[in-house]
Formats: sequence, structure tokens, C-alpha cells
Amino acid sequence: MSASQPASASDPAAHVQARLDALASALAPGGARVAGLRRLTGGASLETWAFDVEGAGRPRPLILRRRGGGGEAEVFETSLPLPVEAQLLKAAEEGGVPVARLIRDCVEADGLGEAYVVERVTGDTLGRRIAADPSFALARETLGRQCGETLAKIHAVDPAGLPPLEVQDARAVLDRYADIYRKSSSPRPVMEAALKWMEARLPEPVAPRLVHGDFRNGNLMVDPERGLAAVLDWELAHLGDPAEDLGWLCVNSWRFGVTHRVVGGFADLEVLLDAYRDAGGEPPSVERVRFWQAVGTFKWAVVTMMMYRTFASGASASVERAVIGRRLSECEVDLLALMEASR
Amino acid sequence: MIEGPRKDELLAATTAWLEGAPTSADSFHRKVAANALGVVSRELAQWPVAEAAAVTRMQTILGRDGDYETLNAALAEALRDGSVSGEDPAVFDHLRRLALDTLAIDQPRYRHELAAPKDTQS
Repeated sequence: MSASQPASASDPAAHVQARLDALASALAPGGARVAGLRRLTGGASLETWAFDVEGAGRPRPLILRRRGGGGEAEVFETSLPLPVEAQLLKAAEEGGVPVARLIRDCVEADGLGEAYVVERVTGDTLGRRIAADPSFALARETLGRQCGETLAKIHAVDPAGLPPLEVQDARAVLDRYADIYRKSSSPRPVMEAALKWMEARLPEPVAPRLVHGDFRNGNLMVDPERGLAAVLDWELAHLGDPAEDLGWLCVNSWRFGVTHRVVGGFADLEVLLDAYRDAGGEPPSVERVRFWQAVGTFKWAVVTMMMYRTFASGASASVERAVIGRRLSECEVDLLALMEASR
Repeated sequence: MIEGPRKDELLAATTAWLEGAPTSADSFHRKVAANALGVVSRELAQWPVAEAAAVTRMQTILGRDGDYETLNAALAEALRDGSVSGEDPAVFDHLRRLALDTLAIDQPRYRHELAAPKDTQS
């Protein structure tokens, strides 16, 4: 494909600009052209572009998500295809979940490859700022409740109306990451002890629900005053145990130093579970949340190993990728803390 | 207990980047580079003592001699096959000390909920 489209390989910005210009009228009423195009994420092969559609009406701020070629080596090969993600965004919005509204699920003739366009939601995703900065103090008062309500709505989406998604119960998730760990690292006592701890606490299976898969501080668009504005990054969505999302949100790595606020560094677990119940969800037990928190911590430990592998294998020369390998010790300390709390 | 990156990888990658970096290089990547060198410095200063203490503890747990790598691999295997339990207080004490000693090298400012060991002389 790159041979027939040399322009896109040598100058992706010019290619994207030309294609979006041609789509302008479909992206906004009276849209004539695209202005202010800029790439928001560097690195990963999944590109995010911001732009405005100008024309007869007011400029419309939008986001293009697109699977490009090349870029930094991928850590996971498990991301959902973008057209599936687009369908999930639609289903979530219909279920009352705050998301960036889908504007166009791109077709082949659009010339952008695998891609979709959504509204550009204003706010901040920077975890540290959301957890600790004084300018987000007001947002923090409501964010825990909003997360509980939103998760209840995500888990209430009828799986029958969704595109086919992989079913991953606790057993499957644990096996997957145990397997990657064994392939990526020499045996580590803390990881082995943590696996035994989790094996002994494997929860009873539940009817599979839509699970976001990466619902954490850092993937939430937050407005300093109104709190949660949109849930981003649906590429790890699957069917499974709803408690997985609640546990992942509580992983210490996403508290950004505000460790005593268990939920993302901004709320207490009680607040999250109460809001989940008030919104019609059936809250899992604290033990079940803790189990999934341990699984999430183990998972993040495995990700740090894999990021280091992309450096060690020569696939990436980034110092940042290399030093992420030294964050494995954070996860091991967090795993031991969870194990100790349950003794 | 350290899987990677190795000291030499960190030093080589960081030095290469700093040499090639334009003077306008952004401050984020400069901080990443400085942090990498901080890890190396702390490892050189702190790991020999932590490693020796870990070897002594693992000799007691496993009832055998060996260097750090050998004993650490044997302990991991014993935890995996169930012949040693992480719930055993002496084993958990070892894991706690090793994890905290390693964290003090890798990410000394990381905030967490794992209690310090009862006696802090290691």
C-alpha cells in the first residue's frame, strides 16, 4: 500500500490534510476546509490528530483517530480495530456514557485507512494534575461519583447490540498476563507469590458484561469545574467481569502520588461503589475489587517488562522506554501491599 | 532482582542521546535522561549492601548456599511449585525488604502502602 501512496509515507500531515479537506462538508454543516491540523500523539502507530472544520458556520473542533504505519514499536497487538471502537463509542453514547461523539466512521473511499472522527472535548487528561493540582479541586469533589455512575452505565450496555468482542474472565486475564510474564522475564519471587495469591482468590465467574478495559485516571477527559467530560481510549474493551474496571481504576500507579485516595488519586472506594449502586449497578465486594486491583497491578508490571523488551530488542532506542523497566519495582511493592492487607 | 535495563544499557543509551541532543531538546526528555543516570548512581551506591542482605535471608529460607542469581531463581521456583509460601512471615519479610530496597534504587519518590520492615537495619 505504501508503494502506491508514496505521499502518505513521506508526509503524513499533507496526506491527512488533503483527505480531511475533501471530507469537510461531511464533517460539519457548511464545512469547506480544515484548519489547524496537528498531531497530538507521537510514537504509537495509532495516530491522533486535532483539527477544526471551517466554512459557513462556526469552526467545529474535531479529532481524527487513525491507524498509521510505522512509529514506535507496539507494546500490545491486542487493540481493537478502529471501526469496532467507533461502534462501541456509539453504543456507549446511547447508554448515557460521556464520550467524544462519533462524527464519522471512515470508509475506504475517505482515503484515511482505518480511521474515525469524533468531536473534540475540552478538558485535561493529565493524571497528576487531575489528582493533585489546586485547579482541579472542584472536579475532584464530583469525579469519584461520576466515575461510579459512568461505570454502571458502561456495564449496563446490552452486549447483544455490540460488535463481537472477546470474552475475558478472571481466569483468562490472569493466564494471559502470567504467560507474557514468563516469556518476558526470568522468574521473580514477588511475581510468583502474587500469582499464587491471585490464584487462591479467583472470583466466581459472572455473566460477561461490556468492560472498558482501560478506565483509569489518564484516560478520562476532565473539566476543572464539571468533572468527567468524556471516557477515552476504548481500544482494550472486551466482555468480562465488571469488577475489572473498578479494580483497574484503583491501581496505585494511577493515583499519581495521592495514594490515600484509592480511586485514581481523587476519591475513596466507598464513594465509587455507592455511586455505582445508585446508578443501578450491582457493586462487587471490596475483595473482588482488590482481586482485580492486584490483577491490574500485575498487568502493569508485565507492561513495564514489555516496554523494556522493545528497547532491549533494538525495536526502540528511546531512553524513556528503557527506564520504564525500572518501574517494575513500583508494581512489586504495590502487589506486596495488597497481599499484606489481605493477611 | 533487577531484570533490566542493565547499568551499561542505561549509561550507553543516555550518553548517546545527550551527545546527539540539540540544545533546544525538550525538558521532558532531559529529565528522563537525568533520571536514568540517577538510577545508575543509586544502584552503584546501594545495591551491593541490599544484595548481600538478600543473599543471607534467602540462604536461611532455602537452607542452601549460592550467589544472588542462583538463590533468587531457586526462591522463585519454590514459590511457583508451592514448596515455599509467600504467606510464611520470613518469606514475606524477605520479599518486602528486597522490594523496598529495589524501589529505593529505581523510584525512591514513589508513594505506596507497603509498610516498612519491623526492624530497619537492613
